Amino acid sequence: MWSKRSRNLFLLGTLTAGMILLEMALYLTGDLLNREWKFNLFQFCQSVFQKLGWTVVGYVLDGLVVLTLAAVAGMLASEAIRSFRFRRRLKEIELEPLTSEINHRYGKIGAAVHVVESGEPLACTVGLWKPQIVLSTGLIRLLDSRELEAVLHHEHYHQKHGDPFKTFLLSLFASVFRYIPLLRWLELPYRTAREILADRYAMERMGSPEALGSALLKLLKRDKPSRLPLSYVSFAETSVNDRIRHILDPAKQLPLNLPVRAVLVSASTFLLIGSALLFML
Amino acid sequence: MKINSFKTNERGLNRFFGPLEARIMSILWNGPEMSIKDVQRGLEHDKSANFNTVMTVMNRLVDKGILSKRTAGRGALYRPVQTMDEFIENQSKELTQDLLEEFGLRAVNHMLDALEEADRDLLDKLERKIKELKKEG
Repeated sequence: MWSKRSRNLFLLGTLTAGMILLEMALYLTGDLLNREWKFNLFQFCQSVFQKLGWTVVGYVLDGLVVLTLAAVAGMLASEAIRSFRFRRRLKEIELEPLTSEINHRYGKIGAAVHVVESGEPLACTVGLWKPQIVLSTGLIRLLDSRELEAVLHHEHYHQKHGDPFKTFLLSLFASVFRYIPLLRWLELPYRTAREILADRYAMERMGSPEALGSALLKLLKRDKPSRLPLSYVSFAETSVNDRIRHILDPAKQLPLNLPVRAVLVSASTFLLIGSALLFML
Repeated sequence: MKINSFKTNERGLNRFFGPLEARIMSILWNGPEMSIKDVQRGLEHDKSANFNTVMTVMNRLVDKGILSKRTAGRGALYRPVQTMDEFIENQSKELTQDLLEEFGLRAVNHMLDALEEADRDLLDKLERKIKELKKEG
């Protein structure tokens, strides 16, 4: 159920955004090369605006297309640079003896880990390509060896499946296409599904939910939880309860609560686009 | 206290200090409270470390909050504010915090992100289940 849900959410997001971006790219190249595409919604809209004499609206449309494509390219480039720099800095500040020790002790998991000094219990997988697993000394101090092993399996799942890149893509689409509420909405359930799948993988590898559940419990029951600087990745705002429910009863189906308003607005947008395309035919 | 110029290509104390600063700190961490003259004696093989240079460097370390200084008779005695282990641990923590703040990436998956409020009933249930599983194990 969770892997199907995760796949469907990802496909919905990437296909929707991908289709719009492709249409925009075609429109822009068509404009530059002075070429007409058969089914290009933006060219169609532009021709309608011209017929109606709405020149200003046509300019607004041009601006929207250029700005959207530039924003996507800019955000991708900026994130790629930041990922690269992060990896380089991480290598510089990692605690080498502890990193070697942890990699040696948990080598069978197959996850390459970097340990950094921080009182905060931190475990994350970072980077657009070749994601890196980062653990903090605070986490190593807090958890026993089986709990730490379960957390490493959890992170290894994210690493193996390139989850940081996928979640970044959805987050990018959500911020670029703010006028499509469905894209904004599906980021959270997608992240939740990925976390639950990573939890499931860790429980399977450990042969029991005990170690992972115990690690999660320790993290949640710390005396004075403080927010990490990366906390704007807000998936855990609601997902942790779903994750606990899944650990308690992995077979239980958890409903996907569709936001009616977002679905209606997005559906209307697509209905309009569909009608326009039909009209072009 | 925060060291602003971190040298990534260096090892040990040289990551946080210049060469003379590192030698001075090493002497002070390995001995009792010392005067500038005591430290200079410890650096005797270093001809560039004359009294004035050592005094300037040590007072700069006092200004940075790394050394404390107290008056004793006509002179002053210096000692590190933290032990070497405490200092390195705190600086490393600062570096990690800086790294995470500087690179607030979206391309991140956390084991547990913001440690938000979990449902109390669910937490109790989870705790009971873990206890049961531990007993069975």
